Amino acid sequence: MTPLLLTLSFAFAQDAPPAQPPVEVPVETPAEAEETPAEAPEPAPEPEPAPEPEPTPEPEATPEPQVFAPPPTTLPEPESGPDHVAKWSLSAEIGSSAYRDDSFDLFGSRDGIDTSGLRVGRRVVDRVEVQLGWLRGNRGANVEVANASGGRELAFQSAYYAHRFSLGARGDITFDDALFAYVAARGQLVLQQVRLDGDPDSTSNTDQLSETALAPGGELVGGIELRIPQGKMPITAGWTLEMGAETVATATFGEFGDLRSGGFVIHSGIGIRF
Amino acid sequence: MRANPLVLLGLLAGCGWNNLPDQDYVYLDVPLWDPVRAVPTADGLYLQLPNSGGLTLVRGDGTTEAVDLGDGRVTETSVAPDDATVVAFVLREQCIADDEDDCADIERTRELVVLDDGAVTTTLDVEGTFNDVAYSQGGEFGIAYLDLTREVELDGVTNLTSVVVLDLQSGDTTPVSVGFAAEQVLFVEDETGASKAVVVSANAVAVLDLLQPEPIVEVTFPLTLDPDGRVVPVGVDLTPDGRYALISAQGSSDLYTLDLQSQSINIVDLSAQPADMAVNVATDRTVLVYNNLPVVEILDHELFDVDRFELDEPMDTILQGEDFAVLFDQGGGKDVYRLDIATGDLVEYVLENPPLEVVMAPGEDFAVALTRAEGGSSNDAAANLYNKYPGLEIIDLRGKGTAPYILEGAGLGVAFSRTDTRLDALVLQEGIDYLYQLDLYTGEEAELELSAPPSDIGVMPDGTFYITHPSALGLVSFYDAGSGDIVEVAGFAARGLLDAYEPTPAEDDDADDKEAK
Repeated sequence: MTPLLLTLSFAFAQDAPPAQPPVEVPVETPAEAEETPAEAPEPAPEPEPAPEPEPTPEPEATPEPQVFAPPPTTLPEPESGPDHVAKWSLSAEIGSSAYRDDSFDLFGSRDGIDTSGLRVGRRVVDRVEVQLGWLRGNRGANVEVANASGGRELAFQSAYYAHRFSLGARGDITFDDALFAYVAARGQLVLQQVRLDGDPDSTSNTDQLSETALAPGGELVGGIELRIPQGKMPITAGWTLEMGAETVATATFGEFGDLRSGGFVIHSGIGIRF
Repeated sequence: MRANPLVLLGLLAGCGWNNLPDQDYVYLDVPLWDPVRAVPTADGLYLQLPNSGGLTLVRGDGTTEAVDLGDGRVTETSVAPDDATVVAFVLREQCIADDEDDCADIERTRELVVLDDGAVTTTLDVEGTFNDVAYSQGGEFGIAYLDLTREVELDGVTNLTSVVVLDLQSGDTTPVSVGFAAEQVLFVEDETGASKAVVVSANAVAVLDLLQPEPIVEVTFPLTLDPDGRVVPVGVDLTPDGRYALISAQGSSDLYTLDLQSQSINIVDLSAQPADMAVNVATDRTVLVYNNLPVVEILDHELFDVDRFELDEPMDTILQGEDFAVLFDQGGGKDVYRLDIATGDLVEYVLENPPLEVVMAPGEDFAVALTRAEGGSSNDAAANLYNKYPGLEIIDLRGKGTAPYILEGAGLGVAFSRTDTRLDALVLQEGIDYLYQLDLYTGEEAELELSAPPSDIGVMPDGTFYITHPSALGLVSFYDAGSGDIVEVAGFAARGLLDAYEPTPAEDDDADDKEAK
């Protein structure tokens, strides 16, 4: 990853436009005054070291010479400079959260769920962004039990839903305003729901059960962000990839029992910065 | 920013009940509950939850509650004759840790937990493996034993010669060695309560004196003196005065009469090996039927004389009335008899199909037979129809008539409700999601719609019917035949679904040390 990042940062540094547009200053130079021969130019002579300028005596009071200087040029304000990054960010994210608790086996053999959602950020100080996010994910399974003949039969359907509402801060460093490396710490409130349906083909059966739980948590992630460098457009695109760890308090789903999530998390998002 | 509750609700709902995510298949090793093992009591219906190891109490008003038994797994549950005291066998498993594994071994202990109204009243330690309890009629004593005809869960060394006497009032338990593989337990009772217990096991019958400070074996009757021989008791009963124990044995026409007072054995020679035996209290006589012999015999308890009455077909099952018996054959015969035990008068009924089960209705004016399709063909169109379908037949025990009905599904069970003006039979049919209700007095019929096909039916002590359904998450219907009200209780089996039973984890020695400091 590191070579890739270095390569990307170098590429952006080479391709990056100058921070200020060139300003034409009408200054005559000897080269411009002389006619340029049509033939191929001869090899330039080795430049000789410039002679040491002799110290000039203090000028005495003389009448001010008339200076024909060009009118002062007003430089256009850059839309974004190296130290001036977008204030707002909005991303659509996908990711994965781990559930290593044995209780999660009711919802499938995989110890995790895929998540998707939105994250919005506001840069509050130079290198710190406050982020507010919502990620939702679900997982479910057809639960079977042994029947009288020794085979298996569908007993009920189980489903788990989680909505992760997060609020946190991201601190970053940037390379040419195109590549960011960051760490983020976020507090979470995880709204979870377990649903059990004894007859998935019916919506009016009496054994449709549901329990909801709310549990606090937190995550600490590190990641990178690539942006189309700003300065050309008022809105630019960005891509993030972050990984880290998450912990969520045990959630009690009424009579169903307890469930705890936590472990490795990975998120990736694309969005806009403005 | 204010969160709109409707938005949150929408987020939570995500999708409807028809669109639950199902990315995987999961298999549960044990069911969440067993619809045919409900224990009805005056407080409600106790149901085991094998997946979580616990017990739940479903009350008739539709409420459910967990029974707090502590760590452990309930293996059996039974109710005492008072219809309120419940005894649960609880297996407690504790992981024993070693350096490499936190559950290298499991230490098992067993307890009998006595419950009343969903709360633990007494906990009795028992040593050994037991799966059933026989109760005295008054409910003051119980005897725990290992019924080998049921599913047996053995671990470690199991002593099959021992039973445990439970004093349910004091909470004392006394292990008593009675003989190999105790099979049946009877109590000698009078107005003051139980005084003796008769424990029948292979080759021996032990009589326990329950009135001693610690119950002891008073006498043991050997059923054979041949060490190579094996006498397997089939029918066991006590005479109404409690003096004699009558024991019929497998493969033998001998009837052992054990005199518990004089501690002697008398052997009565019967016509054949009895298929069934019933002691009738009102007439103080015993009725015997035989598998391969079309006779019924009545044994007098004074002189142990036998009176024999001829039948058209052999009978193998006796259903007791107050002073009469109903005899029927579960082996394919279609005859049913009503036997007046005092006089020996017989009334013969011929059913349309062979009976699977015959149940006596309250009041003993009627018996209801659930029959199976006989198959075959006949020239009689009506007989052909009966041959094709399972049926229900009402036997009028006051006269000689029967009333046959054709069922839509095979009869699974029948239960009764009686009021001053009605005598309702409720019939459960396999795979049919309604109950067939028939007033035996008037013949008035009704179909009682249920939300799911039933598994089992029974009656609570207050007369309310309970119907269990094969819903994995739990579904029980309570039906009050008087008011016609149905209360459905669903989902109770999901209790503890996320906390599947596991042995108690090994204690953390470090944590214990810290606590001690």
